[in-house]
Amino acid sequence: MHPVQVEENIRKIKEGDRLLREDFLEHNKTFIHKIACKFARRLLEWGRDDELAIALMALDEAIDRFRTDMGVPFLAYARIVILSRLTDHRRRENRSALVEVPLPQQGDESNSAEFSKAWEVHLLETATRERIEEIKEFAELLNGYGVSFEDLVKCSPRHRDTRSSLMLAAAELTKRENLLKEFRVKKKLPLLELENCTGISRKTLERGRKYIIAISLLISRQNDFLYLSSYLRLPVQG
Amino acid sequence: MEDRGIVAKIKGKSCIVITPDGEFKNVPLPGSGLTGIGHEITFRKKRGVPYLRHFMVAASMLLVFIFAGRFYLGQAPEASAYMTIDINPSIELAVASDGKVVSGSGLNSDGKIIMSKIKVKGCALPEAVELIIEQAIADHFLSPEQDNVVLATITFDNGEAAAIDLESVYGAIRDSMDAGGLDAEVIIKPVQPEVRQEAIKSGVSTGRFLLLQKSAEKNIQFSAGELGTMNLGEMEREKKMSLVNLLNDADEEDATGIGGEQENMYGQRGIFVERNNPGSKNTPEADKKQDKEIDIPDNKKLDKDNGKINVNEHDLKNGDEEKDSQRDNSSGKTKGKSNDKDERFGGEQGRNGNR
Repeated sequence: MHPVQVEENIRKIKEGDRLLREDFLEHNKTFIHKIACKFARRLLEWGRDDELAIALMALDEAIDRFRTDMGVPFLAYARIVILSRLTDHRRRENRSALVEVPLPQQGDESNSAEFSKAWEVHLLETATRERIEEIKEFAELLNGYGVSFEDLVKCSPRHRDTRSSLMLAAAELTKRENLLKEFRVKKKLPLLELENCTGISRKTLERGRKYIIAISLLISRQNDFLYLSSYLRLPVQG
Repeated sequence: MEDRGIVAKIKGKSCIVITPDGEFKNVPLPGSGLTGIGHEITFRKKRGVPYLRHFMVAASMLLVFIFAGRFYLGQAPEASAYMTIDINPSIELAVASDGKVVSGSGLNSDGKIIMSKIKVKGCALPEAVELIIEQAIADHFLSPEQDNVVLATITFDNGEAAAIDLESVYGAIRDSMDAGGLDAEVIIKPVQPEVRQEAIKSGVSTGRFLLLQKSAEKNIQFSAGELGTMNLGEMEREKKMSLVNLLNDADEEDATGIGGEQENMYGQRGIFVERNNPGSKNTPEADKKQDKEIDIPDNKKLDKDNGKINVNEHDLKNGDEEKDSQRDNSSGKTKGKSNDKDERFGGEQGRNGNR
């Protein structure tokens, strides 16, 4: 789902759209699964492992807690909440005192202002750290395709229209499984196919080749690049 | 315009940011605060012309040149008077108040040819005139075989009459004519600046324009084309008129006659000198030297049979008192003469009349 769409859905859910909430939770199960598996360092299964249930509850909690003025995209926020809850869970199980800032339990908001303040600081620190990691990861990923940020500065189109048409081409590429696969294996853009299915001239595609690579990587792996993909106004994926 | 972006890479004093619009940009690092990868920064959006700095440099250089040029031009003296010379080539000279020629230009193709061969800028006016006449002789615009007419006009810009000495100009023309062994009708006429303006508008020299005006007054038909290109001598012959008479206005009651045998000097009114070569059609009877014809008598002007009025050698020794009686005298004579020539010109007169 597109980041902008995600935020829009959250707003609706907060307004009381029960159905959409169910739908949203269901839709993000793969996202939760991935996070939980990574946390537990093993493959988890729905209905068998507690971690997944806790993570799902954490996502639901994140929907309630989320505020747009925090400056963190929802999914990134949700991830922090989920990881926090999973850590709480582990601590309860192990009884080992991990030095982590516990997230104040829902319901006892009155608990202490200090507590929620600490959580806020923790949130922002985590978000910043994650964002840095994300960019480094993105840079590495691009490097694998022979693209650097300097290249992108040089070839990113100045004109907004050109940029959005290249973004559309990238979106088109990620929509087609076979093209995306070919792209990932060969690390080369299937320019001819793109030209056929977008109607954008070969010359424009050629010129924005590196830009298309960067954007399509961002779109196709937007769950790994939560901050970047929500920061960019990417074209809505159909 | 403020814009924001996430810092993706820092190198030296600049960094690469990713903007929400999906643009990757190289921007200078903000001076304040700690900035690291992943931080969102704001920066000034570059707007306007990409090569603005180059344009600024070019524009300022241009300004310097313009001002320098103005200053330089300011040093050069301004023309206070204009002189045109018409033979067939028409030439205009701009004269500064110190009597030096500021610039000279040909007003028709022949004039341009002459001006391309000589250099008059910076010369004193008589010198420049001499050069022009000499060149005209060299190029056979003036030659012993033809009826030579030199028509000069002088326009004073703001009444600065002192700038040009008519006599010295006449002297210059006469000297160079004599040197070439030529005789010519020489007319030097001061005109009003308005006349020059009019002439410039109609694209002919001031002298020719004056001619056009005067001939219109006297019912002599010209086409503008004829006027622009024809050799004045030929024109005179063809139209059977004397330029001297034409231009020497009839309204000069206050004319003060001075000068020698062949010259009428009218001070600021101008200098009108007839041709003196015996072969010319205008040859007067040699023994009637005292005959004087300055003005065209009114009755003559109106007399259509007398399209051509001959002017004899002028002798201004006689005072103004005698003018009237002489006028009667000469008019009678002129009449007789033109009758003699009627056979020769009758056809053409008729044509003129029919027009």
